[in-house]
Amino acid sequence: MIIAFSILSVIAVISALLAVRLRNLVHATLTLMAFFVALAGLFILLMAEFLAAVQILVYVGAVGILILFAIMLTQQVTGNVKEHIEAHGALWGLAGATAVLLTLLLPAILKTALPLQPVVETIDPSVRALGLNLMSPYAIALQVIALLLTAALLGAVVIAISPEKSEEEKKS
Amino acid sequence: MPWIAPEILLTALACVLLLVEAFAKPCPRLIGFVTLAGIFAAIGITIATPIASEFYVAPWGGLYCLDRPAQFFKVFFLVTAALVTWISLAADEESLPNRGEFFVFPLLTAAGLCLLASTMDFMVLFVALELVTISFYILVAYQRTNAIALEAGVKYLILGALSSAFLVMGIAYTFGITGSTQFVEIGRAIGHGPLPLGLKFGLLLIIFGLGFKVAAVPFHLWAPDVYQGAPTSITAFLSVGSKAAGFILLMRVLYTAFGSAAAFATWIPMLSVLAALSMLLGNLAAIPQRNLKRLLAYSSIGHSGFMLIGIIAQIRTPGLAISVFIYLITYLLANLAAFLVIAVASKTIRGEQIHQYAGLWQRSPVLAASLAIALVSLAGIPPTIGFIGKLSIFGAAWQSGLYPLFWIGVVSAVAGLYYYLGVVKAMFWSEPLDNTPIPACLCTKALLLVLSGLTLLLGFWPQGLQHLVRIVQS
Amino acid sequence: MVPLHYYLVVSAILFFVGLLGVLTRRHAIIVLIGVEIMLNAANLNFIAFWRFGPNPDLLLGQLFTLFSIAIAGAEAAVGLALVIAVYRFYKTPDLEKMTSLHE
Repeated sequence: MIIAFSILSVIAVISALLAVRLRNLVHATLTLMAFFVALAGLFILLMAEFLAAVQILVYVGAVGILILFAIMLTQQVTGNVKEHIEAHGALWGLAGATAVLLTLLLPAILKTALPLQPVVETIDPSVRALGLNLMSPYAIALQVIALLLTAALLGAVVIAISPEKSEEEKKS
Repeated sequence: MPWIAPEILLTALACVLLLVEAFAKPCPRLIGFVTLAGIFAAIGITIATPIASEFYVAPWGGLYCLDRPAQFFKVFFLVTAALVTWISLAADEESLPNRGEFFVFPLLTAAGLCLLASTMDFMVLFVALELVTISFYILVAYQRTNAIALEAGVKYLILGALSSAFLVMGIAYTFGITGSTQFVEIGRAIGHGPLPLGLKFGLLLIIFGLGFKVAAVPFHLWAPDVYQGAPTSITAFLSVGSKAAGFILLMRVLYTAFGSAAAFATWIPMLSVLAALSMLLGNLAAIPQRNLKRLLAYSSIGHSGFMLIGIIAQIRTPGLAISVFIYLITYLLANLAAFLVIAVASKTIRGEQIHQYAGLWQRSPVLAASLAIALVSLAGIPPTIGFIGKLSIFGAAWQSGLYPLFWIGVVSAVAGLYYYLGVVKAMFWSEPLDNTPIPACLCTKALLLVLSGLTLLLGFWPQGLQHLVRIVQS
Repeated sequence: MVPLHYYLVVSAILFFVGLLGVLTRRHAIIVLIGVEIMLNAANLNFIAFWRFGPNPDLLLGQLFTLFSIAIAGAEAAVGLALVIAVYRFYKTPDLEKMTSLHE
């Protein structure tokens, strides 16, 4: 178990790091997908098999492809090589992120009393219970998510449609 | 289920309008008026719903409650949404209400805001907050032919997504250490013992996420750009609706979930720093601004600081959170009137620079007078209602012994006088650039008359406001 | 069994990497990728806390993660639509070249 955990977490961290550091956007997106898959593996280790499937379907299948499309629709894939990719004050950003990690995240984990072992050794597949929970106590949250996705769909179309297209529509 | 009737009505109306718009292609203004009628119906339902004396528990196991504050905020959000719809109809901004589906987003946003007013669970809080936030991303960037609006949309989206990542991380830590997502259960799990470090960290991240919503310094960076770039009616919605949502959530989370003495010792210093920085930076940074919407953005950051004082004061002296309610009413009246004037006037003068408003008095006395009353109220000068708001906040600070915050507040309020009155001076005592009168339709004038009238009337007669607020409190 | 701390540390490092992407890069799409990584790190936290928590049969952690995944997808869709729309005007996805605001 510890071996699988180590391999998956090393893959996750390295691919995430590559995803935000690579200059070539398509490579960055591919490493991002590898990150999503590694994370799904970690979910399986934690016995959340349904979420691992959702993670792969939604993130690798939808978000990753969406990002690839956005890259194709916007830019020459490799970016402008001559131009440097760092934001102004990237060093400050690096310092800030490191400070958050070292002074907040790690102490919060290491200095808090946390359970070392799970309460139950194994968990039965939970899809049925998950569905029942979505239907009765959390039905309201599920409805809100449905509205949110409708709004996002509509908004993405409204924003991304080309201005000429909508002009033609108005004339017809 | 009469409890969530307003939310159901708004979302059902949004879905119906979307379908009607897709197939029947009615006149967009008609859809706007139906939207307005739907929001007014929701206000009626909210006021008529009897309030359960305790939290409403079954059948959702304490996810949702309908108490007096929830009802107050629902009516507050619905009034805001109605006025925003009115402003976008009156302003007739380019390409904005030309498309009927525009009005679906204010409806969905209003439904999400109403849900936020009664949520008692982090899961519902998160989904409703994201419904509101995503609708706002779309509304800000709705004028897709306008580069400034798109740029504002991108900035809002990136900083907003960053803040929700922090919020989710904070909720994760809170959930992990207390084992629940419900505010009441979290409060019970914390008990009276000291806060573990992980929980303090979670609380810090949650305040980060909600501080972004109320645009408190140092989470305010998005506000000036987004307020300036967004369509004026949406700026009004953001500055009133989104900010008030942040305050009701802060009250719910901090009073119910983190309501133990040990938790107070953690978040009161954080919130005090936010309040002091917001008041100072908001009011000082507004002084050099030359764009009116940008100026109002900085002023709204300052107002967040004032209202945070009220939230802290409640802990020292119970009952003083009422000052936040009073302040929000004054803020709603003044801010919406100001943005309505800007929306109508910018159709003719094509811009929001303050020098373009020079001599507005000669060009349109109604607009100039309304804007002046709104700005004077925001500055907190008697006899407007803004004075009552400032008085109640400063009174709360003094009564609960928050002397440093009190003095910082007074200094900031005095600094605020300078830039508010600078705009008023430009409107009345400067020569106009050109003398063409600015037209305003009758319904705009009527609405301005109501808003300014209430601002003055409640200023002269504060008992009315106190009476209203006492009903909320009971 | 791997202890809870290990998962939390991995999640913290991933959160840091995502924040690094947001703070140091100027390409709008990479910044969005950074935010997605941060949200995923939070999801990992939720699942780990759920697995080791006192009552895993309530499934709270899994439910929250499910909602969070759906919301992250919606956010990515709107974000990328905005990037495409902005690209039409500025011909660049570089966040630092968008400077029509500030008067």
